[in-house]
Amino acid sequence: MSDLRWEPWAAIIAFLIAWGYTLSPGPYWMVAFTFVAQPLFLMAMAGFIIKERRDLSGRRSS
Amino acid sequence: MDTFDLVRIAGTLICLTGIVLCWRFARTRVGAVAAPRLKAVALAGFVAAPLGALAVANYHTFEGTHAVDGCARCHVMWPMVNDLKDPASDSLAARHYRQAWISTNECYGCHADYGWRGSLKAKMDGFRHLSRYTTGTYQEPIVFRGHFNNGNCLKCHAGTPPFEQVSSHRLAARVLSESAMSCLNCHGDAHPTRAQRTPGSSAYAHLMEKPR
Repeated sequence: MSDLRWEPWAAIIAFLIAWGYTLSPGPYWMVAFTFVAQPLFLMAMAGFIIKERRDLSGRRSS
Repeated sequence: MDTFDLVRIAGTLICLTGIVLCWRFARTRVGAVAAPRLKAVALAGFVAAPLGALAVANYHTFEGTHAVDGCARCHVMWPMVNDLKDPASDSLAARHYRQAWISTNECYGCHADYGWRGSLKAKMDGFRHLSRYTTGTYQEPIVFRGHFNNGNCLKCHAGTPPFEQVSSHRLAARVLSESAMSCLNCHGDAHPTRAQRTPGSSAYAHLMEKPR
């Protein structure tokens, strides 16, 4: 779980956009959620999972 | 409390929880060897909460857009919505609304191609409409570029006695089912005409009032 540098910020931005879209589902929030928040969520999830797997495999080998 | 309120409450709780959890990892560096409890917190913040937020927020994308209010969020659709709710209008959409022939989600009732089960082309059209609207790269009156699928009409009308009693429906059954002939050829405009929706026309100001 080392080097989680950009992942928290990507997730926080995505959460803020998703929150805005949830409260006020207009076209501009929809664009932001669809084309910004969703990719950021997926990137943050992938970043976390990849680094966690790398740490786990490193601990097994050591 | 309706579903919309529940979505707002659930979305707020999930997003705030996610922000708090991720803030913990944004402010402090965590080493490769972390406590299992910390790993569980990270899993909640980076996987569980985002999945929850995606599910809740996408309610608006896939369900909220079915409601008439969902269409009215883009002001370019106000002429259609105002006409729909106008008791004096004789358009096909207004007659269906006034008689409650479609009990709920009236826009989606006739434009079901946009739904979850709609074609890929309909999805691409939806995203094109969204991008054109949000970037302001459209001109009024907006024009329906596609080819309306008569199946949206026939799914309710075909096979009913009033429909089958009309000889022209039986004669034109094949071309109607293939959408080679529009239902509007005989049944009039579904919405206000392009002339009425053109800025500067006498009907434009009334059609562009904010729908109630």
